Amino acid sequence: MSSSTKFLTLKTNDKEEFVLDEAIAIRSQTIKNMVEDDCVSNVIPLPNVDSKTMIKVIEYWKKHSEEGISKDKLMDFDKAFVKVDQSILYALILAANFLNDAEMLDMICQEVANRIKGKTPEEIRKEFNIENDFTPEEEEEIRNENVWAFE
Amino acid sequence: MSPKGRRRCRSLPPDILSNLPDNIIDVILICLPCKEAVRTNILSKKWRYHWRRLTELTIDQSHWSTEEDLLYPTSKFLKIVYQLLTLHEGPITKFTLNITKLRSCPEIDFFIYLLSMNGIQHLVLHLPWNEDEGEAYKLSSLFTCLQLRHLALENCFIHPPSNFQGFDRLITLELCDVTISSELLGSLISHCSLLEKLVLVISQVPVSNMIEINAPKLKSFDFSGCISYISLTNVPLLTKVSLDLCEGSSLEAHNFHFVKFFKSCFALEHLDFQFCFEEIDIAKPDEAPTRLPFDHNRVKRLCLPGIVLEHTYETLCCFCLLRSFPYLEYLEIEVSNDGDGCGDVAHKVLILRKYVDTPSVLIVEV
Repeated sequence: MSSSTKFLTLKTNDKEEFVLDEAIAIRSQTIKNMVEDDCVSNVIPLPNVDSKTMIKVIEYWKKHSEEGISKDKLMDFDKAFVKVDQSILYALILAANFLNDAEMLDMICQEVANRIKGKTPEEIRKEFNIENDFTPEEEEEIRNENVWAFE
Repeated sequence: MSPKGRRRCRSLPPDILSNLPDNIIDVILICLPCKEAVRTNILSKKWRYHWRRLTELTIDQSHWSTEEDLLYPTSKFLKIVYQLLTLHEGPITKFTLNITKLRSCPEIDFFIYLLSMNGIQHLVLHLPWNEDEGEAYKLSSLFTCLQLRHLALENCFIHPPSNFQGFDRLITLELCDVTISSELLGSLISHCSLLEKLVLVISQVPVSNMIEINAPKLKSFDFSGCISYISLTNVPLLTKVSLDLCEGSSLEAHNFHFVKFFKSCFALEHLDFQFCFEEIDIAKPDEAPTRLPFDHNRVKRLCLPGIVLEHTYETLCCFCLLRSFPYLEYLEIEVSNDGDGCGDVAHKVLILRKYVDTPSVLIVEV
């Protein structure tokens, strides 16, 4: 095996190509499995990820692969990383899910949870544009099912 | 996207959250406090049953917000746990109950029984202190939870049945003021063959004065409380030990035990050792060991918090350890001043500083 750095080419669904150090790309369990199963030809297609999202993902991977970076610095980076519009956050979640990067997925899901935390159901519906499709009777029934959770 | 489409998006972003795959919703719900996760059931029909798949449940004092609630929480407590456990679907891998401030928690054993049927792997029970000793919460069903990998218990009574084969997947065990005979405790530990981390807190005077630890995979051992003798019979991988011995313990009152303890943890690399032996100190300072009869070559890190320099015995024990760890890389000593003779203390710190000649030394004076 050659000791020099191996590169992979990742192709997003809008036909952009990203050349990336294999050691960084295999933070994605999906890519890692492909590399290990030797299914990698020249280009790895990522049908579920667009280039705009992939740029963010690679930014995250590179930062988290930096040698000797302190935990505090990473935390600051993560904090700034998730300060984005909901639509970008969702795109990142779906990308992390497809790429199977549990660490990144957990981090972004925590951010979504933080945006839910401390809000009333009505506030959550408003924030995330969730339509309340219950009748008042149904709603009452659900409240009664777990009274303690609504106190 | 056309400009028109973009404008529409901005004014009313679609509800993407509700349409995320279930596995992602599950991760988001686990990040929420249990109460808020359950409350998502009222958002919409799509959200109605998501919480029931939660694999981790935590019930703590935050469910009883008012003083009055805390005083008479029993019926409410039962209702909450019953509702949670009966409506829940699928495995519960982690269950945390942190209710030390409640007055009591009946039927706890039945809940553990339900959890054992749900494949519980990580169980944390911080129960209220029960003044009536005979009424300590007896957790019989615990021994049916054979999938357990992490177990932490506070304020209860356990008695492994005679035919108990051990928790053969258990990696961490934390027992804080758990009533169990030392014989059964030793047997329980030796029956958990994968155990890597053990934490024991005994704030009451123990029934017996000796604990035997036979744990071939043990890496970390924390003990805090009152004990005469800890016998390490088989701990080849034990690298980190933290001992916080309260007054009334006598581990190093007997040279023999002191020496034997350190001889049996030969892989030790990191030691935290807190003393508190005033009575012994006054009585027999000249009986303190001067050095271990062997060098402990692997110890790299030594922390000695709360050394009272007026207590000669303690200080001598410190010196004994320092002399016996020739390859120490990091030393932290916290010196507390016991009141009288400040000048004297400063003098002794100076002596200590002179004595200590290791690469990284931190002396904190309090």
